[in-house]
Amino acid sequence: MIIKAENIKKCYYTGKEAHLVIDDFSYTFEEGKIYLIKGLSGKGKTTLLSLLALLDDIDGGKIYYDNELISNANMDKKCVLRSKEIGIVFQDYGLLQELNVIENIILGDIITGNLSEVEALERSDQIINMLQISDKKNCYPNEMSGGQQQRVGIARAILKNPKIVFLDEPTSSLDGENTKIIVSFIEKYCHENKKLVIIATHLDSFDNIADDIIEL
Amino acid sequence: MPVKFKVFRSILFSKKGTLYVYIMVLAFFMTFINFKFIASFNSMQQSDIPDIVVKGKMDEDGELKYKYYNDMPDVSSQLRNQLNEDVKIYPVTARSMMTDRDPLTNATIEYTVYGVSNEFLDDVINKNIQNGNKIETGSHEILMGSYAKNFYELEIGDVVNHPVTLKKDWMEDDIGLYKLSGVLSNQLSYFKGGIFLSREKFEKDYGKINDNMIFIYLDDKESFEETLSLLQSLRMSNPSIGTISMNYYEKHGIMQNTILSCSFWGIMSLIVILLLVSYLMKGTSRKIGILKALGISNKIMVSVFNGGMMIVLVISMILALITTEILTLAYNHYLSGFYGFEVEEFMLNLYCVWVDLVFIIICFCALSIRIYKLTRKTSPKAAMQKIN
Repeated sequence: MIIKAENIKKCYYTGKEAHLVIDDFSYTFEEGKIYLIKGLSGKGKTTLLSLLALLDDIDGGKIYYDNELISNANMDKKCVLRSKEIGIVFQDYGLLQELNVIENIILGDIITGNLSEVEALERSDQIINMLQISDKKNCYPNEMSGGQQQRVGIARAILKNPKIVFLDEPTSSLDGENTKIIVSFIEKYCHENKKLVIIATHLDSFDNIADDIIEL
Repeated sequence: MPVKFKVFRSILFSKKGTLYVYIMVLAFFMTFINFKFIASFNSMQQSDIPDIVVKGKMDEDGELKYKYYNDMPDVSSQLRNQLNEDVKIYPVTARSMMTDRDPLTNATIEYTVYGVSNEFLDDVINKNIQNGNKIETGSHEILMGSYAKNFYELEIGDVVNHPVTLKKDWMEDDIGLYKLSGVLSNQLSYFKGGIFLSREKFEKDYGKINDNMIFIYLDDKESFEETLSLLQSLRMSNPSIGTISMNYYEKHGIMQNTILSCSFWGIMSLIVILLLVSYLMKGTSRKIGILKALGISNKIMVSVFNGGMMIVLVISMILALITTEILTLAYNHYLSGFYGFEVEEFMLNLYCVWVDLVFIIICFCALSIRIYKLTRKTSPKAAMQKIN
């Protein structure tokens, strides 16, 4: 899947005052490649990622998914795309503390009906093996380290085998060992499966595997 | 536990205990409403309260004497002559034994001897006998309200060692003349301090006596107003008539009062439940945002919440019904001990189930709207918020 951003703009308002966070951003993201959106804090990395992942509406410009204008689509259409084609990894992992690892991984796809429970459990077993957290499958998030939680977040994002994976600061709070595991997994996952991966980060951990770096 | 319910619980009841507290609060409110309903339902059953009670004038000094009220000769016959046959008029000779406080409710209980016609016994009293038998014609037997039986510490068949007579003053000879044949049900709460004997039998033994009280039963508002206006005009010309008490509106308004009272408490409970949910919803937008970011639509989200909420409401309802049943059994047991015979005054009935069902449906709709609004308003971008 190809994402094409054309002159996109995003403003935030504090009272009546508008702050232009993304101004006239244009770019084409191609499948099978890893893109880094880099910049200092407050430069709009997460905002841009949210716009591209259809989590937020743009204030100007256009976003195409495979040449289909998607930025003007209604909420339902965007929701279907997020459910089927997009996987998102959050900076703070976005795990529900009351659910264990397996439940956190499968909940989205079970609830939306993307996968049957049996399929979801089968796939989640394979993925947690690859991510080296199979011994934690019955643990709750508060019983795991940040790196392990982030791997659960990644497992949840890729369970449905999405065409695009967005990662927001995936290694910002991880140590060197956990960062290495995640970087190598992302590289392998993207290139072996021809997926489009877009990462927003202020760190250099992904620089070596990125196909292109967009500086904001 | 299904994942959907776990997700519901995780969002609204992140601490396990809060779910249990919420269920308990719901069950408490429903139990309370059930009890309000059962109490009102009990009142509805007490249809044998006279619609109008006419009493003779009290003595000038206002002191309550054994004779109770002054005689009102001819009033009942005048009423009978001027009112249609649907209005039932029962002349009564009442004598005051004593006045006491109800140990259960602290209300005033008048222990009174009523000399009533056999017709009144058949129409009202005999069908409300809880224990024992009706008075055998021509015998020296009496029936007692549950409180009177308890107060005088009597059992069925016991001789009453108190002065039971319809004479204006009692003498030593009037003690031990009557035997207790039966005890009235609590449904006849108006007469719970009453001691009933056959006036015909008494007149046969001691000669004619006058009425000092009249019980009137009627079916419709028109008859009630007609009877009342006749009584007012009779009172102008007949100084022996004292007070005219009306129970008609109270008696016929019980259903309305029940609905009003249950609705009032239902609304109050609903407000508290909604406030609790609003409190629980604080800080849930990020979690909802995450679910939306995962591609869960508003529709699915609302269905997850609705399913979870329905499970919580149904569990609460079952708990409320069980609690109500246990409490009614305990209360009936206590009452049985108090009265000295088996009482089933408070009963969980099918109407309670309906009342609870209506309550949970209203709760469900209100909560559903609240949840729908929250999920609609929450953007998936909330998922990107950083936790500090």
